[in-house]
Parts: sequence; structure tokens; C-alpha cells
Amino acid sequence: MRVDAAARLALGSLRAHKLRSILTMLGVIIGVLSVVTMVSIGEGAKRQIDDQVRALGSNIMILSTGFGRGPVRQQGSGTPLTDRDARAIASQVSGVRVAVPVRQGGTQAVADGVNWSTQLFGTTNDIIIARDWSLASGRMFTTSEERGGGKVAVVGQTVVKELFGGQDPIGRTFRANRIPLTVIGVLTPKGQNMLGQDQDDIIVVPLKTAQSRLLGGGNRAPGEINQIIIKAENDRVMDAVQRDTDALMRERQRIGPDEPASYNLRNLSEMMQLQTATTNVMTALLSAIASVALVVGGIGIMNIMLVSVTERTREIGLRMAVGARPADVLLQFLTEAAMLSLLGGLIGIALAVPLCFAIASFAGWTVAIPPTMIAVSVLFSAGIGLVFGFYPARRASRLNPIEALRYD
Amino acid sequence: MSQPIVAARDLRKEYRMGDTVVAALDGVSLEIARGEMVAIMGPSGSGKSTLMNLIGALDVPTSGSIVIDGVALETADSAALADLRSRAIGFVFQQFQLLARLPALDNVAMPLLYARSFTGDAKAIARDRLSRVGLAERSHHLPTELSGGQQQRVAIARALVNDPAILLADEPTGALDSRTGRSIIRLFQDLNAAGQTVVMVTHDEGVARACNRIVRFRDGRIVEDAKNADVWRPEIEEAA
Ligand SMILES: Nc1ncnc2c1ncn2[C@@H]1O[C@H](COP(=O)(O)OP(=O)(O)O)[C@@H](O)[C@H]1O
Ligand SMILES: [Mg+2]
Repeated sequence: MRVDAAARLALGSLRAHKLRSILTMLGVIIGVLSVVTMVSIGEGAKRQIDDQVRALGSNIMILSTGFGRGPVRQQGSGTPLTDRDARAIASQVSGVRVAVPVRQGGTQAVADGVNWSTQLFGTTNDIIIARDWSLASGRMFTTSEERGGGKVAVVGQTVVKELFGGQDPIGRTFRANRIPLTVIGVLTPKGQNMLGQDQDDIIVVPLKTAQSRLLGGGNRAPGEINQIIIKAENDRVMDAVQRDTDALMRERQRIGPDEPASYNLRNLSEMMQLQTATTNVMTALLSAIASVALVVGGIGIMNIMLVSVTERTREIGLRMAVGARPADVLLQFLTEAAMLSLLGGLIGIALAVPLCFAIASFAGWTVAIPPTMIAVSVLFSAGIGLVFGFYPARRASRLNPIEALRYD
Repeated sequence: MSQPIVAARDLRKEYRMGDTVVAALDGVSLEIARGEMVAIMGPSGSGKSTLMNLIGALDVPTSGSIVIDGVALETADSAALADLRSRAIGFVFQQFQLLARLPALDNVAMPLLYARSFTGDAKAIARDRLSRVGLAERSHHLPTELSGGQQQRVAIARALVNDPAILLADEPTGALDSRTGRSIIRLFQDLNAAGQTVVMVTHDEGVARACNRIVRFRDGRIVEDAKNADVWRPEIEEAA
């Protein structure tokens, strides 16, 4: 018997028991639905982490002031970081490409009566290198602007849109915390990171400008900054840079090697890798649980195929009597089982796609359906039918035609 | 004369029931030539069906030899037996054995699904066989929509679909009333007149007299094997 004839026979007998076929498929439908959804959520999470790593720039470490364990900064609990620390790291730790001091804070910007609250970064030109940024137009700061705390700013695309109505802002002036600043450059758009943070909603000014004019005041130490972004030469020196930076900072702040540090030094790509690994494990775990549903679906198919073989014993006997070989009977029942699970798999995928979109839009998660995943689940579900359909099919093919014809 | 279609020699078929061995066939030798119409008679349990199953290549003998249309069953494997059935055998059963899901035409065409060398139009052949048994108009009816006699005609059409060398019928009229049975017997006679070899098991002396040879069984042996010179041609009334 040819496979197309077997497929037609199988389709006919599935149609003859529509409800039973659908109920039998349900196991595979749910199995494929959950595996595809789990893997898609996992894949989405991985991509999200990936994007975050890319957005932060590569080979990055961040040194920030320690805040103790609690949210309130305790008096004297940490020596404040200064731009001198950044210079020391840049010059004394080998393998460091740039060490960029950042003084960061919120600000209210006003231009022509338009208000916009955004993030202000006081930093040096090296921030461009550290964060893998680039300029869409204009320039970064001159040496004299950096030294003298020049009232100039480089702005992100969102600021251009909100504050200047999308028009070319170069040369125009706005006020941030009442201080007039002239726009000298515009950053290339970066888009949202996957946390939904708008990376283009930013104003960058020289460090000194931020420190003395915009974000100064309070009981700040002279030259105090929030963090130092350290970019290593490459990923191979990351560990050495981290170790040497830690040693240098302990020396500068006179902290013993076994005492808790008053600062945080975080290797971000390492954290991201860890997160990716965690996501992988989670995805694998969830998929494994979901595959149990597939196996249960397979057992359901086996069960119903055994019932079907028993019910159709006379039919099998008849087919054999008119010339069906054992192999023909095997093929017929295997095809039927494979078709059940394949159809179940296809329905499962058809349901998984909208479910993934629904999850993406309601839970706000990134969900990515890998195309290979679709192909694999189609093959896998057909395989489930073949594996679990084999025993019943073989049983059918081994029937004795004389006894089968007498069966009732 | 050409080779016989069935050549059986010292056939034995035993069934083991616990520790007792039942010899369903106990040394049967028999030849059937092309064009014969043979009735097999005998009391219940005398081995008629066992012989039919062997002639139909559904089973192999315990000992002895049997050659069907040139194929020795003793040495054939299950695939070879299936091929022989597909090529040379047409079966008609007492209980019709139609597939309830399928219309008459598909029931008739079904054996061609397994005919390995067949490449033609199965439906066209099935239509032709249905018209030969007088059911051309009923090809789209399901078995449940047909009378017993009509169902048996569909079954006969199915048995003819592969142009079998031999048509086997095990009590083909057993489930039919006598009038319908007569029309089925006439159908077999007509087929035989056109050259079809027919072997049928029957309990009915009248049916047996419609054949041109009668073989009588008792306890797994042939007790009588005689030509029937006085062939009865049943009159058929209107409609089957
Ligand atoms: N599958 C079987 N297992 C055991 N005994 C069987 C089997 N088939 C037939 N027999 C026995 O073989 C003998 C002949 O049976 P059968 O050929 O069916 O007789 P008939 O068709 O003439 O009534 C009977 O005694 C029957 O009980
Ligand atoms: Mg019998």
C-alpha cells in the first residue's frame, strides 16, 4: 500500500470518530502548546538580556558608591567616589580602556516654555567610548569646556523631540535646573532597552558643569561622583581589571583585604551571563515539565489506538483476507497514530502563536518564537505518534486473519 | 488440460487444545481444475472451513502439501500468502464482512488498495463489478442501506475485483432467506458459466445440486467426491 493511500485511510477513520480523535489529540495539543510557549518565553527573556548587555556597552564594569545594605546612606559608611578615583583607575590599572566618572541626577529642562524632566549625566567625552554611543550630529565637549564647566550639552533624541519639537537643536539654548545650556551635539538613537527604559531620554554635560552648577549643593564632597564606568580592553582581561581595580580602591580608601568594601564593583556582562544561564535552566526546566504533557498525549494516543485495533479486529482480518500484508496493516495504523499527533501538534502550534502574542502584550514580556522550534515541534509530534502508535500497529499487523474475521 | 488451480496432497491441519490435538483435516487430497463449480458439504465441525482457509491462503497446513495457482503454501511466508490472496483469491463470507463506514463502491474497490501490481482506475473496475452483480445503481449506498441479498452481492463484487483465479464462498447463503439465497446461487452459476472457478461450502443439498461437483466431508476426511450431472438451475423470482 502506498503512503498516500494509507494517509487517506487514516484520515477517513479519524473523521469517522471526530470527537474521539479531537479528545485524543488534546494531550498533544496541550503538550506542544506548552512547550512552544515556554521555549518562546525563555527565548524572549534571553534576547532581552542580550539587548541589555548590548545597550550597556561591552566589557563594562561599574564602580559605584556603596549604600550599605539598606536604602538609606549611612553617615560615614562609605568614602565618596571622586573623579580622582576614575583617573587613578585609568592610569594605574592595566587593561582598562577608559574609566569614566559619572555624576548623575534628574533634572527639569525648559526650552521656549516647554517643560521636560529627564536624566542628566555629568561626565567626560570618554562616555561615548564606554557606552558604545555615537553622535548623530554636532560634537562632544572641548577641553576648555570640560575644565571650565562649560554651559554646553549633548542631548538624546527623545529630548530633541520633546524639548525642541524634533527640530535641529544644535546651537539652541535651554535651561536645566535654571542654568542655561547650549546644545552642541545630538546622540544617535538607541531606542528603548528591553526594560522599557528610554535610552534616548538623556542630557549629557561636562562633569564639572554637573558638579558645580547643576547637581551641586548639599553635603557633597568636592569632586564627588555617583559612579565610574570602567571599560576593559577586551573580555579576557575583565577578571584582572576587576581584581586590580578592587585592590586599588581598597588601597585608596584604606580598607583591609578582608573588610567589606564601601563601594560596589559590578561586572555587568558577568551578571548578564549569569542571568542568561539562569534563564536557560528555567527554560529547560519548564520545557521538560511541558514535555511531560507531550508524553501523556502520546500515551493517550497509544491507548486509543489499542482500543481502535480491538474494535476493528474484523476489519483488519478482512483487509488481510483480501490481500493486505502485515506491513500494510502496520503502515495503516502507524499513519493513523502519526496523523493524530501531527494534527495535534499543528493545532498546538496554531494556538501557541496567538498565546505568545497575548502573553507578550498582557504580561509585557518579550516573547520570541524561534522558527526552528516550530519545525522541531512538528517533527516531534509526528514522532510521538510513531513511537506510541508502533505497539498498537504492530499488534494489529500480527493478528491472525482467520481469528480476526471471527472476532465479535 | 492445464494445471489444476488447487492441488492438495495428504493435507493435515491440527489444532492444539490444551493437551489434546484436534485434527481438523486428517489426510485430504483434492484437485480442483479451472472452470469447476465445487460444493463442499458435511456436518458441522467436519473441516470444511479449515479447508477453505487453506485454499484461500489464509493459513498453512500442519503437514501435507497444497499448491494454489502455482504457489506452495507450506513454504510461503505471510507476505507471500498475502500476495497470493491479493492476486488469485476472491473471498465471500457468510456474514458479508462489508465495512459499514464505506459506500458499496469503496467496499468493492478496497482490495485493489493492496494489489501491488495494480495501477489502473480502481473505482472504474469496482463500478464494473457492481454492474456485473446487478447493483450499478446502488454504488453510493452504505451497507446499512442495502438488503441482505444486496450486501452479499456487494461482497461478491468485491471478491471479483481482482479477477481471482478462484472464488471461495463459505456458506454464502447461510445468512439469507431461501429466495434471496437462490438468486445468489444463480449469480454464482452465471459467473461460473463465464469461466469463473467457484468453490463453496454449503449445508443446503439444493445449493449443492446447483454445483457441478460435490465433495462430502466427515471428521476431517473426504468421504465422497462426485460429479453432479444433474445441475439444478434455480428459478429466480423478481427482485433479490
Ligand atoms: N482455531 C481453532 N482452534 C481450535 N480448533 C479449531 C480451530 N478452528 C477449527 N477448529 C476445530 O477443527 C474442526 C473443524 O472445524 P471447521 O473447519 O471450522 O469445521 P466446519 O467448517 O466444517 O464446521 C472442529 O472440530 C473445530 O472445533
Ligand atoms: Mg464452517
